[in-house]
Amino acid sequence: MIRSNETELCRGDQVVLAYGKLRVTPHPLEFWFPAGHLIALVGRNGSGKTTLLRALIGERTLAGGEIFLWDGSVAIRKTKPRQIAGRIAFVAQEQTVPTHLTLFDMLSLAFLPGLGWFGRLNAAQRQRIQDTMEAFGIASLADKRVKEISTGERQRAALARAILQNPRLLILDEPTNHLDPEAKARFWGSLIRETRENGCDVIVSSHDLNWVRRHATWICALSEGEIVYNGESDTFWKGEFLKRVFGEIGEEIGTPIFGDQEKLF
Amino acid sequence: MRWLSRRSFWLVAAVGLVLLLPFFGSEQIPFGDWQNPVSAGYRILWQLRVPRLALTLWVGGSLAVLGATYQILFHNPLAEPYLLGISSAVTLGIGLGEIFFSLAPYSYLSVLAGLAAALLATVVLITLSLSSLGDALDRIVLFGTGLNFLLSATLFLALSYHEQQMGGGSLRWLFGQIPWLSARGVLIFAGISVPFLGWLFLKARTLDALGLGDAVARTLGVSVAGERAHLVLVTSILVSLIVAFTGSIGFVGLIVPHAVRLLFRPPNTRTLFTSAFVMGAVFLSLSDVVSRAILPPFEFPIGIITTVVGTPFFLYLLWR
Repeated sequence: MIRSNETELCRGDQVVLAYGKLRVTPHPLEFWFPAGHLIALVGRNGSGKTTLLRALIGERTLAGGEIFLWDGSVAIRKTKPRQIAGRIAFVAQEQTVPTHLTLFDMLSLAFLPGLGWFGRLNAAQRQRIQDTMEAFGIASLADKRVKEISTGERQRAALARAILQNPRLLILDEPTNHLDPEAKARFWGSLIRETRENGCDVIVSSHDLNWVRRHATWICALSEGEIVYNGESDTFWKGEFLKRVFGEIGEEIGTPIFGDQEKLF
Repeated sequence: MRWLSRRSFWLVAAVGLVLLLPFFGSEQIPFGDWQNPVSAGYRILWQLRVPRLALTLWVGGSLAVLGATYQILFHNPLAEPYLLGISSAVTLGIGLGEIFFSLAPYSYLSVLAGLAAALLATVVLITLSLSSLGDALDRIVLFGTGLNFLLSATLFLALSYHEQQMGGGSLRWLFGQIPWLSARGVLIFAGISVPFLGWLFLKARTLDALGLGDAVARTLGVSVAGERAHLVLVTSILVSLIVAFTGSIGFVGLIVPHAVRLLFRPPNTRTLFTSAFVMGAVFLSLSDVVSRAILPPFEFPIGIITTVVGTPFFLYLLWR
C-alpha cells in the first residue's frame, strides 16, 4: 500500500464493517484508494465486498470508524444523503424495482435530487434520458415495465440511471452476476465507454476475473473481512495473492488457460 | 398514449356512475327530485345520501392510495392499510371505551379513545423504524403484524369477557361500516385528512426511489430511515382517522391498487395513486349502495360487500 503523489479518492480509517449484528471484519480496516483508476474489489462470496461497498456510501454496514472521500473533503458518516446525491451513483447486483415502474420513469429518478415538489422533468432532462437510452440501446423499451424486460437489459438500464446521475464516483456491486456472456460484454462495454467519456472514478466488485484482469488498474482483494491486497493490478496477478484470495483454485486462475478464455469475450 | 384514452373512458364512466348513485338505496328517489326542494326525495338526497357519498368516495380513495403506498414501501404485494396494526389499535381503543366507560360509538370521546390508542401504536412503530432494526424492512412488517394480532386478540378477550356487549357498536368496527355523518361532519373529516393524503401524493417519486433499494435511494438523496419513518407516521395517522369513523373496511386497499396496475398500467407511483384514488372511491361508493339496497332497511357491513363484489371482478382481471 504505497502512497504516491496521486490524488486520493477514498481513505478508510479504523473501518469496522457489520451486517446487522454480524461483524464482517475481524480487525478494523485501514485502506486507501487513488483517484483516476478503475478499482476492482475481488474476493470470494462472503469476503466482505458488498458490505465494504455499502459502507462507502454511508449505509449502516459502516459500524465503526470513518471513510473519507475526495482528499478528505467528505466524511461519509457525517454526510447526509442529500449531500452525496449527484456525486456518487450505485448499481446493485440485482435491480429491485416497484412492479409498475416503466423504464423511462425509472431513469427519470436520476434527477430526483434536483426536482421540485411536484417532480416534473424539464425538456432538457427528458432529452438527456432519451439520448442515454439510445446510447445504451434501450430506447425501444422506454414504456416497458422494468420488471418485464430481460435481466441483461435491466442491468444496463440500472447503469444508464447511474450515468444519468452524472456522478464523480460510480460504485457497482457484482453488476454482471446474473448475465449471459453477451449481456455481460455489452454491460462492460457500456461501462468503459461511459465512464471514460466523463472521467468518473469506478469502484466495482466482480467475480468476472477475465474482465477485471483486462480493465482494472487497481485491485483491492478481500478475504474473510481482511484486505489481503490493495495496489496496482499488475503485481496482484503475478503474486501469491491469488491463492490467498481464491484458495486452491487461485493457481489455476493465474495459468495460461486464462488467456484462451479471454478470446471468448 | 393509448392508456390515456383508455383511462379517460373509464373516468367518464366512473363519474357518470357516481352521479347516479345517490338516487339508489332503501328508498328509490325519482331523478327529478334533485332540484325540487318540496319533494321528499330532495331532503334524503341532499342531507343524507350526498354527504354519505362524499364520505365514501373520500374513504375509498384514501384506502386505495394507502394500500398502494404500503405495497411499494414494504416491497410486498399483499400489504394493505391495516398491515401494521394501527387499525386494530383504533378498534381496541373504541371497544375498551365502550365496554368499560360506556362511550357511545361515534361520540367525540369514543373517537378520541380510538385515536389515542392508535397514537400509542404509531409511536412504538416509529421508534422501531428509526432504530437500527428498521434497516431490515421485514422487521417493521413482522412487528406490525404481531402488534395487529396482539391488539385484536386483546379486543376479542375484552369482548368475550363482556359477553352482553357482543353485537354492540364496537363490533361494527371489525367489519367496517360507513356512518351517517352530516355534511358538516364530512367536511371536517375530509379537511383534517386532506393534508396527509396530499403529502403522500407529493412523496410519490420518493417512494419510487425507495423501491430501487436502500443503497440506490441513498445516492438519489433519500434519507432512507427518515423517509420511511415519515411515511409510516403519515399513513398511520390517515389510517387511524379513517378507521375511527368507518372501522376496518377490507379489500379496497389490498385489491384496488392491483386492479389499477392490471387495467391501466400506470408508468409511475404518481399515476398509480391518481387512478387508485378514483377507482377506490368509485368501488367503495358502489359497494355502499349495494350494501343498503339488498335488503332494505337492513344495512350489510360494507366490508363484507366489498369482498363479495370485488373478488369476482378481481379474479376476472387476473384471468383475462
